[in-house]
Amino acid sequence: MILGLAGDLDLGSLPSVSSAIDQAIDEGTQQIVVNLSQVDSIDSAGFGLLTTVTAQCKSADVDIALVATQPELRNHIVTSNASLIVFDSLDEATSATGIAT
Amino acid sequence: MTLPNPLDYGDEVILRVPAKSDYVALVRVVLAAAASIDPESRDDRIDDLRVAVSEAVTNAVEAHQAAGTDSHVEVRCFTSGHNVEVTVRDRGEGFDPDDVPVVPDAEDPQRMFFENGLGLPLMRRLVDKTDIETGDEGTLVRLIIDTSLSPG
Repeated sequence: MILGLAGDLDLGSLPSVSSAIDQAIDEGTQQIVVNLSQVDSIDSAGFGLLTTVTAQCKSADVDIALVATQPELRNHIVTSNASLIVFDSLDEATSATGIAT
Repeated sequence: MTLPNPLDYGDEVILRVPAKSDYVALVRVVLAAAASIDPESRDDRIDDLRVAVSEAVTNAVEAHQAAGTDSHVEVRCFTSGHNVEVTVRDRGEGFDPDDVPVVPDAEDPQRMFFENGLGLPLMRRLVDKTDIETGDEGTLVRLIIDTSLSPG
């Protein structure tokens, strides 16, 4: 599944993103790509959100990949948590997780 | 850097918002718009202010939720020329600034278990000056930024 997010990621974004991931996991999705290329800014609650959904997927044994085409945003994400892997193109993320496009 | 006293500031915008996560975005949008009225404000500095304000309001919302209070969070924005001062006041139970948990380094695998905790250092990095007054009756955060100067 490819989940595209847009705008600002903050404390208010967590419930809807987390439930979309939960739903995908419940439906048996094995690979999730979260596309952040339309995201304008991320605050620390938004970074927490990315950490939460990554942990959510790992505990369900689901592959997750993040994508951000914006170099600065990619840098901010990795600075917040070096264990988050962020691809710089959707193609790379989909091939890494094996999602057919 | 010398900044004017808030009483000398030209314009003031006041917001009182419910302590709910959905209102963090509203505050961010209004304050960014107020700070952008200065034609010489830089977009990257407005972005820094937006994220810093987001941090402060998020902390306030979480403080109200932890304290179980339904009172509003009050946000004031004073602008004068390129100078912007934002205050965020909550009615939570305050915190001990010396007892903020140390977040593991970004390279540390334990970092994965810390979903929050980046807020204060991030605010300090983004704006020119940060003041925090905290006690049993709540916390007042002041963020001061000159939006015409390049970041850093």
